[in-house]
Amino acid sequence: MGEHERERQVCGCGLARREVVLGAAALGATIPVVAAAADNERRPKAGDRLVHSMGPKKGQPLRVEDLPLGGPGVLAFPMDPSGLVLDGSRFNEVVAVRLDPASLGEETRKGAAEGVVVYSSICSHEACPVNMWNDYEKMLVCSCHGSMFDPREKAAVVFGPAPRRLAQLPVKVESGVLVVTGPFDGRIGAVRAA
Amino acid sequence: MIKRSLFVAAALLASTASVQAYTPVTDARLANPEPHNWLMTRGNYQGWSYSPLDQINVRNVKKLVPVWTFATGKRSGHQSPPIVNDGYMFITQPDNQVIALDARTGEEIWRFQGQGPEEFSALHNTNRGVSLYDDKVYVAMLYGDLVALEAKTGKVAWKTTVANWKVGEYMTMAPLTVKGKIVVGISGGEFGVRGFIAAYDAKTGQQVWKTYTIPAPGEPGSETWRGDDWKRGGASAWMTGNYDVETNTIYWGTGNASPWFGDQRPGDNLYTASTLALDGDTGKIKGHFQYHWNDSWDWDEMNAPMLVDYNYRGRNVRGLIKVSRNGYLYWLERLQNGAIGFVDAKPYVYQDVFASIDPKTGRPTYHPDKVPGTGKKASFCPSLWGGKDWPFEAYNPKLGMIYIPANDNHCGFLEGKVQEYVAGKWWTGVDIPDIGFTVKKDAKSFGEIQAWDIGAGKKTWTVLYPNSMNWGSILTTAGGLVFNGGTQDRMFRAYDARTGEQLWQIKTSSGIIAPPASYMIDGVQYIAVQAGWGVDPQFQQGLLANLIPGWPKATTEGGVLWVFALQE
Repeated sequence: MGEHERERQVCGCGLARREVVLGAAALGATIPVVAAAADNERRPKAGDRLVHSMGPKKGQPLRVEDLPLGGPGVLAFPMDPSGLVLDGSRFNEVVAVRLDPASLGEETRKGAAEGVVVYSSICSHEACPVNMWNDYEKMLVCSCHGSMFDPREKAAVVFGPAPRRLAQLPVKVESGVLVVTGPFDGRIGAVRAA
Repeated sequence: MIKRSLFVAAALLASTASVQAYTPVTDARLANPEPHNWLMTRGNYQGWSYSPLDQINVRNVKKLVPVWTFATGKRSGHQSPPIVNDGYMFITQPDNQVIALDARTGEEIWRFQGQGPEEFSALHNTNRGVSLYDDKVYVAMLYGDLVALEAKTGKVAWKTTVANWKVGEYMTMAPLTVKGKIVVGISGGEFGVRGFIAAYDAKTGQQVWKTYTIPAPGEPGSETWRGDDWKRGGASAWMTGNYDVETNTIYWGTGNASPWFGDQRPGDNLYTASTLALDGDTGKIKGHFQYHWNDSWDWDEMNAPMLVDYNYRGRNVRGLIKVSRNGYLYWLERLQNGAIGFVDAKPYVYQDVFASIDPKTGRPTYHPDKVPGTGKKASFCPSLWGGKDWPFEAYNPKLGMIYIPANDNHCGFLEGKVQEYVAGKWWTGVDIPDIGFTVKKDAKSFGEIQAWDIGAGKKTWTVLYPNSMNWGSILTTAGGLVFNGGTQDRMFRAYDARTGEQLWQIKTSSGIIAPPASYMIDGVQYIAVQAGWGVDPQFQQGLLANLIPGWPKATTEGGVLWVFALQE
């Protein structure tokens, strides 16, 4: 396992593999030259657009009007400006939810646009998909152990075994389409030895 | 200088550990395990969870005290029994960890930490133990590898990939050693897998055979499937099988059909929710028994039945006893040609789905309003966790009794929908938040231990837990005892196997959902069990806390091995 791999395990905070390799090389680290990871594995960054990751609109841009007000959420992958969908890593999948902007907490609102919040869909407990919705409580739900996250409050844990919130992906709306404005604001996936 | 000292210390530790000789494990030893050892998950090939040791018994069990403990360093559900071979003990934990200990002193001999893919997600981050053969220890990794370790050092002898985690296949069971082969089965019934059981050469890791639990078109049983439904039809094989040495037959259980709603895959759906009889050399299916056809309740029948010979209604039967998740207790027969015969079945918890059971074949009929479907909501009892989930029942041959860790007074309701299949993602036809779970309003208890006289076909005593489900495997002993944890109050208890009278208890570090085991060294009998709450009992506890005022929301996590002996 190369140095860059370990780096990714410690923090999946949106650093692309290639960027980390270059960074380590610049520091003079002696690492074997490795083939660059497939481009579709890099984490999302400003300028990427979101596209549906499943369903009849799979691969099409995710538009605000695709999101029912008040949930449930819709799953999406980032797509780079060249049109490459970044689905080479399941850790890139996100869930977008459209809520009343007035219901969003102050910190949450900073990364939201027109009431749309976007979070990593990878649970912080065991890395399962957070792709379900509790319509009664209006919460995001993990598909393995039922942990619930409040999309109005930075996806804080409100129920279940998850130890920490989901990372938020800041977005803006351009011509009705969701566009990423920066990297994930936290760790992706579970923290574990194996 | 400091570095050097550390190195010397490490070397000394290693040499101390390596002086202990390791007794190779042979077919003969596995067929007739010594009473002082615990060589496999359930103690013997018959799956009895029975120790022939009787130093600790009904008269002195009150003097049982912890002699040492060991923190595993892991959270999540600890579900493996200590496997003991002449002084060596092997325990496994969540996150693909194996630890070898001196079974007398608790000194750590070695530790193995498997490294899975970063992006692997774990529905059940647990492991149910190792199997042994010759001088090696075998363990299944969550992410799908089977690994052989040198028993004395923990060094990897070989590893091979069994399951493809990217399509939802993973492994949690302890392997089964059969005549120089290591047999494993996969989990993944919630992800649209096609289950299989496979055997690997214990020396080399080469695959010897692989048997799918769902037949391909043209194979016997394929007529019970429509179109391509079989490709993602479930029937995972996530618990260790039992083995009949005399007929070289492996009995292995299969899980729920996939997706959960039967109307999305019309037909009986062989061999879901079944016990398979497999030839030990080839994996060929010699017989089967399906507990409920066209499963629509997520009632896996993953536990293999116990091999128990009994006299029933005046007839001696080479038998199988199966405590089913569907709430029925089955008396079955091992026929010489490998076929499985039906003898009798009785409900052991409240079950409202079966309208009748054919007395010749054991095939049930259903109340139609108790069968959930696509767009059709139905309630049913017991809930999807069943009258008993995976925890082991036990058989005491001295008493002719079995002991069931049962759960009663809980029901479920489900309504199916068609979910888009995405490889590796939940694909059951229902979202987690829509899984209905209820308890009976007037319920006075939930978890139970039931004792049944197998020959008489009667329940003889019951222990009721008013404030907890029971998720603990049972150990019974020649000392006339039944040991059981399983409750969320972190207790570990001993009962009189004849009467159910509670004789001893201790508050441990966490909830106990791992099977206890017993062994003897230098004339001292030990009882050992890992505490470590998590996985399904933890999830279900959260649901119960929403339903029952005052129900504790959580039991503390963290693994600790507890070892007990009589106070001198």
